[in-house]
Amino acid sequence: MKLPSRVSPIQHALQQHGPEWRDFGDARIAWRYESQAFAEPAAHALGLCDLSPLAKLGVKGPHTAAWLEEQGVPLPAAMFETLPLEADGTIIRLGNDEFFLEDGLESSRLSQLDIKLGQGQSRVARVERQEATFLLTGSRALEVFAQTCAINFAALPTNQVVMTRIAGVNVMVLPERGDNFYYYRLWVDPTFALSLWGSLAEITRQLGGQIVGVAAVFG
Amino acid sequence: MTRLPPAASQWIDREKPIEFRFEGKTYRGFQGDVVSSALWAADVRLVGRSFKYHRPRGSYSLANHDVNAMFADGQATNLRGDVLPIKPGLDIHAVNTLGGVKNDWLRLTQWAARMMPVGFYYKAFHTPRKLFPVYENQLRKIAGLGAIQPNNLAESTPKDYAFCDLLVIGSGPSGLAGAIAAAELGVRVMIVEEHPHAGGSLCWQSPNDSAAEASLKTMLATVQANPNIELRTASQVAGGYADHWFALVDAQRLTKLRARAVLVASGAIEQPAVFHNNDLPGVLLASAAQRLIHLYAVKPFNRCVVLTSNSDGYLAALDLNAAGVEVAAVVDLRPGGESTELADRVANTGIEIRVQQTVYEALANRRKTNVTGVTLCPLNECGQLKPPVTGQMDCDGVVVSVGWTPAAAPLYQAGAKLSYASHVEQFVPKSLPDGVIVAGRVNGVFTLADRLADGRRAGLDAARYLGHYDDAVPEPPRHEGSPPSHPYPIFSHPKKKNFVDFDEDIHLADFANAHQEGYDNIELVKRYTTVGMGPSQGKLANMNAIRILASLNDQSIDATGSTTSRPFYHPVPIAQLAGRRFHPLRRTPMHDWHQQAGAKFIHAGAWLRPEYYQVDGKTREQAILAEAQQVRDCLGLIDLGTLGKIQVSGPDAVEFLERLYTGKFQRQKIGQTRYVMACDETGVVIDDGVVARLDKDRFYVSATTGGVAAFFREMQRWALLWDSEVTLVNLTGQLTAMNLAGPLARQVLTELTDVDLSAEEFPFGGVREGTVAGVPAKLIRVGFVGELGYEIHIPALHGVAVWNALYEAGAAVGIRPFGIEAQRLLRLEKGHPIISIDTDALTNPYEIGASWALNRDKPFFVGQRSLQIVEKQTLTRRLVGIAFEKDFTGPYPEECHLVVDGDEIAGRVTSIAHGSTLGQVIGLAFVRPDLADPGTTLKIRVDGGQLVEAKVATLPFYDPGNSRQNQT
Repeated sequence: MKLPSRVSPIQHALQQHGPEWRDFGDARIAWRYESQAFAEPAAHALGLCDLSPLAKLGVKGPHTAAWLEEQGVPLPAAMFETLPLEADGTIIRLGNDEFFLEDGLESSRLSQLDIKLGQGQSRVARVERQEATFLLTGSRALEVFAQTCAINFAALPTNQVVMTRIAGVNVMVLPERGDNFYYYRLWVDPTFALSLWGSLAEITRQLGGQIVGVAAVFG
Repeated sequence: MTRLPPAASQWIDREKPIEFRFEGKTYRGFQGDVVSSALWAADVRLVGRSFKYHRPRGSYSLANHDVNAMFADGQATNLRGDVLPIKPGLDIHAVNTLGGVKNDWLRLTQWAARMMPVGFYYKAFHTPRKLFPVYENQLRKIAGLGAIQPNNLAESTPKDYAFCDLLVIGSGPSGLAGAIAAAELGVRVMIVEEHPHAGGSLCWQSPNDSAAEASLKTMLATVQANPNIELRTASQVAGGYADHWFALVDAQRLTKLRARAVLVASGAIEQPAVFHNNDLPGVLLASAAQRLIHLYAVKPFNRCVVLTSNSDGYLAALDLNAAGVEVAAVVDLRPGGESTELADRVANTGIEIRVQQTVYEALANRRKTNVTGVTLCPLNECGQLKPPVTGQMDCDGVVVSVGWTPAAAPLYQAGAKLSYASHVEQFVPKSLPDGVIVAGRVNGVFTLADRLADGRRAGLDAARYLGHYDDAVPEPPRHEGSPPSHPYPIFSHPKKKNFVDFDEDIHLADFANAHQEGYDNIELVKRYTTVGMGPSQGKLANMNAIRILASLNDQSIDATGSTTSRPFYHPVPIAQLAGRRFHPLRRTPMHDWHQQAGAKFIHAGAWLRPEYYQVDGKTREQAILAEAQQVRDCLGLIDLGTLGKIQVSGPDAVEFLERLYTGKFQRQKIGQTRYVMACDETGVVIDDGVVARLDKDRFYVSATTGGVAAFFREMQRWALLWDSEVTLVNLTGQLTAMNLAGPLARQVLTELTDVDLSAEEFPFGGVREGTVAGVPAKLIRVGFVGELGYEIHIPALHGVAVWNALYEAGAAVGIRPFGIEAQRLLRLEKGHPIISIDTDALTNPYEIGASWALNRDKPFFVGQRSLQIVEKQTLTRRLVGIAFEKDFTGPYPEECHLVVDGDEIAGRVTSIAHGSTLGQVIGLAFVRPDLADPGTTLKIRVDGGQLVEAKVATLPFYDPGNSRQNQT
């Protein structure tokens, strides 16, 4: 039986915006929305975007770093530092022996690693990672954080994640820089995804921002 | 009154007239007006009634301290007229009146004033005791100010956070100069100004001074041009907390500001003089009169008297004169009068100056709604009254300028110490905490040149503290000349009504009375007289109260001290404190499916879980019972996404589990599960679940929905303490789960999985890894509900796909979802207790009949030693099944209803089902051990006190041989 697509935990909330779904591997992504001719400028000002179905993988255990190096995965040196994966995607060091990986849209690196993990690795534990991924984009994104979080994101470097609480929900945030604009990648436990999305979407709209498809950011 | 000609200093826009209503009548003002200025311009002086005696009151400070000019607009209440902007459609009335501000019936309380001395409520109303409810009822009706409208729900406000290097409180000359000096050195500055325009006193006290005007213009342009400076107007620093954390409040929101340093340039608050009838509408602070003139273009009076003891009073007299007001006299309290050139300038305008005299009383019209004149009285060299009263002057206003008190709330709250300085007759900072800098009037510096210099000095000091400047910082200037404040502008009168506190109607004699009764400490005086406890928190009263008490005690001001300054500086709407409400809820991946299927949700901790699925024509109880029956007879599917799911792996995994749980795992086979129970060090049961062995050193553990977060923390703690080489992962949100339960479960699941479900290959208690509907899954054969059942654990983002596949596959046999209530009923029929529902914070395994789960021959497990002790003690309660006769029709007991034996409480019900698939009411209860034998009749007290009878039953109620769940 074929593996069904991973669907976002907020798929139902996205559906009301009339998304054009696009499959990337087994991830079904809201690519763009109806009547959003100017989504890209909106994303540069203030946009909220869902990337939850991207594949993710956690690895943890005393031999994890060595094993990842064997697989040719670049290793961030310090805790909470990030590096890009060679094809597309991100690896984050969460501890001495713990890493979080997320594929990019066009990458399937994690499924290869997953297969190797399944072959049984000593002292390397596979950790199921199903976090929702949101992007808060644009020059006014900091205003949304100002209403939801006590961290001063303006003072943070772009290659480090911050573990904090946003709108009452535990979140991991990575400030990133796109072509001429900043965006912030948020990872949240999928069971809290709808709550967090609801809070962020409400504030984003109040500030004149929009829910945007992935095309507006990476299209 | 007519409006004055336009001038650059004015805040009103004459091109934008606005109509609004006050007390049912329509008035006109301009955009930029506040209610108080617009009403004054319309010759309305009476705008409120006082708190206690309901005396007529008017505007007094125009500086956000006028608590006798408070209004309600039908939504919000206690809106201060001196800062409330007028807007089209505004329809307000005065608070605290009965019958309107003009004909307030409660003004009759003035006639009973003699019966209401300070503290009278401590001495009255307690006898006769039976009348207290009457007193209380009536007093509650008339006490207080504005009434809350409970039907008006506050809108959610966008509370937020902000950050800066240096917070500058106040945008007067000191604040602006300091901000600019620091910002030019690279400091990120935020200036917070309470009023809608920056400039502080330069806006209203110096418009006729071209040098001051130019200075303000230049500084504002610099502020605007400097990217390091953010200026927030109409925003107040409402409170200061540890580590330079400040609460900023504006009309919409509360901002939590974290600054690295703070420059307090909050200025000073002009203080009243205390004389008879000093509260009449028409008695104004000089700064208020100047605000009316310069900000709102309102000519305050036709003819007035200026009572003063400083240069500011002379400046005010000149301003009034320039605005066309006839100044009948400047009455100066000081023996020597004004020593600067201001005295000549005033005299040259023809204004009479009376030195060493005071206003003895203000004269009023019949209804006491306006000033009609004053009487004057000479003073002796010590500033005391020296009768006889010598003169009377007709006027329609009295302007008071006798001194200032520093707006030092942020300083006090930051931990600064202040002491009294006689060269300025005010409190000034004595010691400041690190990162707290002060400048301007709050620092005892008064002339414009000094304030600018002090501001620059403070800005450099702040920059140095923040590491942006390492050069020398000049010394602060020191005030020269006559003190800006009078040491005792307070005058007694036989008819009293010489008010010290306008908020609470406390006059001078009240202090003498309190002192006579032994209240000689400032904190005690505050609480006994309530001075400073009104809405303005004593901004116009505390300093005079301190002066009075110092005089009564014959002490210095420093020895008398001041009261504690606590947040908030001004009252803040509770809605703004609450801010936007974030109530994060957890939803399983199948939440939307449940919603569409008619689920009624219940909160389980942070989770929303389907309690049951609504069926047309069925009550809640009927629907729950039908769901349970469906599982017994056919097939049901329940969402177990909330279940705690923990991965334990590593070389020490077995040892770790052996120490953590009461059971044994050394010999647990791969592919098998075991029921597990965990205790804390005292032997109390804290969690239970199932441990599934997936590999030699890889386990998958379930935990209770409500307990998993705390239990996982415990696991991490023990792993550290025991130095265990285990990898622990809480997968509760990352995986979801569902239980396919009922006699047809195997038949339906077989179609979707690659796991061999035959009884031989997958017996009860087994665990297998495979796929379900193409999705990697762990399958656990469980029996919580007492039927053949499979828990299916899968990655969360595939949850909906698997749920849908199961539901489609089961459609042919009539599969139905069931909710948490049906599950609770089914497990109750099986006699399974639920940890934290059927146990409490003291329950040990012996009490719930779970001693079988304790492996006493292990060398160690958490709680083992305590349980060895408990085992030797006599049990005080036992959990038993209870059953009612089949024809029992109620009243039904509820959970926590008491089991009663004679006059004693003998237990309590922990779980109850009002209907069951067995056709009777059943439950679980803790009872005294002597009542625990099956067949014993129990009496249970239900709501209303009635006793109902149930019998202790043998557990389980259903399928005691477990043939259903063990189905082959």
